[in-house]
Amino acid sequence: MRTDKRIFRMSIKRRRAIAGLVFISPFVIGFLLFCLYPLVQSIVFTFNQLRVTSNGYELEFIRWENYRRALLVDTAFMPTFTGTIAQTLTELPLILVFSFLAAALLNQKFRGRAMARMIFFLPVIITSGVLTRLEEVDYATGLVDQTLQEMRQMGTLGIAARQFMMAMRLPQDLLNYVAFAVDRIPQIVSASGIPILIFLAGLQSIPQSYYEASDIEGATSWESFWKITFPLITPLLPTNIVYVMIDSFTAPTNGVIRLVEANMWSGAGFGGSLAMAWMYFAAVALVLALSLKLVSKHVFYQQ
Amino acid sequence: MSTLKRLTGWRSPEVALGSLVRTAVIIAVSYIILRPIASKIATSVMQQSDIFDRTVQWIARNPTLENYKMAFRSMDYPTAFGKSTMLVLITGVLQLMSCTLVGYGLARFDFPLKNLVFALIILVLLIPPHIIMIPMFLNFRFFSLFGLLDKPINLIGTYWPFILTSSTATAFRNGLFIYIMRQIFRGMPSSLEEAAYVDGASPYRAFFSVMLPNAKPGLMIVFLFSVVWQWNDIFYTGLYLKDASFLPNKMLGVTGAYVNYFVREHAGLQPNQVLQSFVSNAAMVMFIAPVLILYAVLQKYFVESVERTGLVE
Repeated sequence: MRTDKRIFRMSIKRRRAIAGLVFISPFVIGFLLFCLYPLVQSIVFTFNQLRVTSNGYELEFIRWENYRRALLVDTAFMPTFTGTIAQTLTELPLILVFSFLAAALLNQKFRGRAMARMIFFLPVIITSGVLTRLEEVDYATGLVDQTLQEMRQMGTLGIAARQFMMAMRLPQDLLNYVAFAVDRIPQIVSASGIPILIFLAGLQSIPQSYYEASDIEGATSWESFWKITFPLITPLLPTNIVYVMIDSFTAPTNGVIRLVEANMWSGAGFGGSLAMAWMYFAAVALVLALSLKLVSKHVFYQQ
Repeated sequence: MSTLKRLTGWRSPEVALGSLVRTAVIIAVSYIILRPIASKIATSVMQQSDIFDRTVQWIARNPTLENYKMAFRSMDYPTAFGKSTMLVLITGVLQLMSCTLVGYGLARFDFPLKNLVFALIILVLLIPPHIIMIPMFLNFRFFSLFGLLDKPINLIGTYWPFILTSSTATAFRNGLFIYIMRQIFRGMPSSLEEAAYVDGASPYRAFFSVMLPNAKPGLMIVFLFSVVWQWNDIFYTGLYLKDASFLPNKMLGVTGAYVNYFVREHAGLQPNQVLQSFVSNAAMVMFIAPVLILYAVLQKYFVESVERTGLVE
């Protein structure tokens, strides 16, 4: 009787572990049912030719044929693939820098701050693929918005600015990058909503006393920015890198995803388009891992 | 110096310069963000004569609501709005519940394989939806719980795929919601629950009566994100419901519907591109307006209390 009771009465640690499992059980069930199985199936499909029949589907095992076709036969895949990854990589630092500066700005005290924050987070709400699609074909958007149309035609960085930078003998690569950055200001601003939110939350968690102490020691605000704000915000870089990368997958402008969509019902077929999607996913995961490794060296953890 | 301070409230020229630069940057960025919305609203109340009037740039000479009437009719707005609202409320509430539970479990309890579960959540968040789109479709088309049901059921065309994925925290970007809720609960002082435990409450009771009410800002943010992303979605409604009568689909097809209507009314005459575009701009405004209103209602949770969202520990 006595031993039974001891078995029955679990330790607090055990009970809390069980409570934890109960709390996370929705995800575990969901992962097993709606993620793991489709993922495995999706990988299997890339090695097969999939045909939809009246009562289900048939698979024909074709080994690496789908991958071979995407890499060696398809003329659109490789350029889109490398182009999209290059674009994500060039935009990533711009988004990080912009969202960090914007967060630093929105963290200061000034009149109209609430309004400014509301506007800066607005793109999270209103930037959507469906809107972009409709805007692209809209006639009056171009007519009313003449500047917007000019921007589309020749890029925001005007010819004068280009000539000026060339006269300064700035390296061509730098010039191109600046031109790219300026051209993509609207996209960068609208991709920065959530990164700003994350950085801002980080800035607000820095204790005010640090700044007071450095102020007493005679540090200028420039110094305290680089010695306090910057190092304490670096732990949020990985979070934001992950977020920006995820966001680029679902962006309406993502070339590879568009290609995958186009190939699903015609062209390469299900297996072929899934092979493309998996290669893209693997490449992005690799890039993500590398950039996280690179950044984590410079992340400063307060201990 | 003191004159400057008295006149402007600025402490020194540097501060003045700083605030000038800040104001300029904020105005520039706000302009970039607000311009597309302003241009849609401006265009949506125009008449054809305004386009050819050189003096009209933004503000229409005789604003009209005719374009809104046409968009309203062409989109079948009440029906589409109702359908979309119902779907986002169902998925929003279910995702809020499931992601909050999972986030709390990760934030406060130790259990075996916890790190693996966390890694899986990030993995699910990272997977592009297109990779699992076909298997997901087949999974719900022949839904059998791995053969547990003796005859597969067809769930495509019902709301069940949304209900099932939302209530198990595996719908679109739910990993992000779990992450946000986890950070929020981690940021709350543990003394809150300890007080409840001392009073003899179980972990579940402590969660519902103490933690949940205190996590309100985070709950609002997660709910807003979930509602907005589902509102914009045509990928999943197309995949699971094969239904193109939700608001985003109707918005995309608004010009076609308007042209058909116009041709019927005007004995075969086609509306020109300008008219089509007016209606399309009105449709875009009518599509964004509900989320903008929701954002305006919930914005204080973003704006005033970002620190309490605890996105950072």
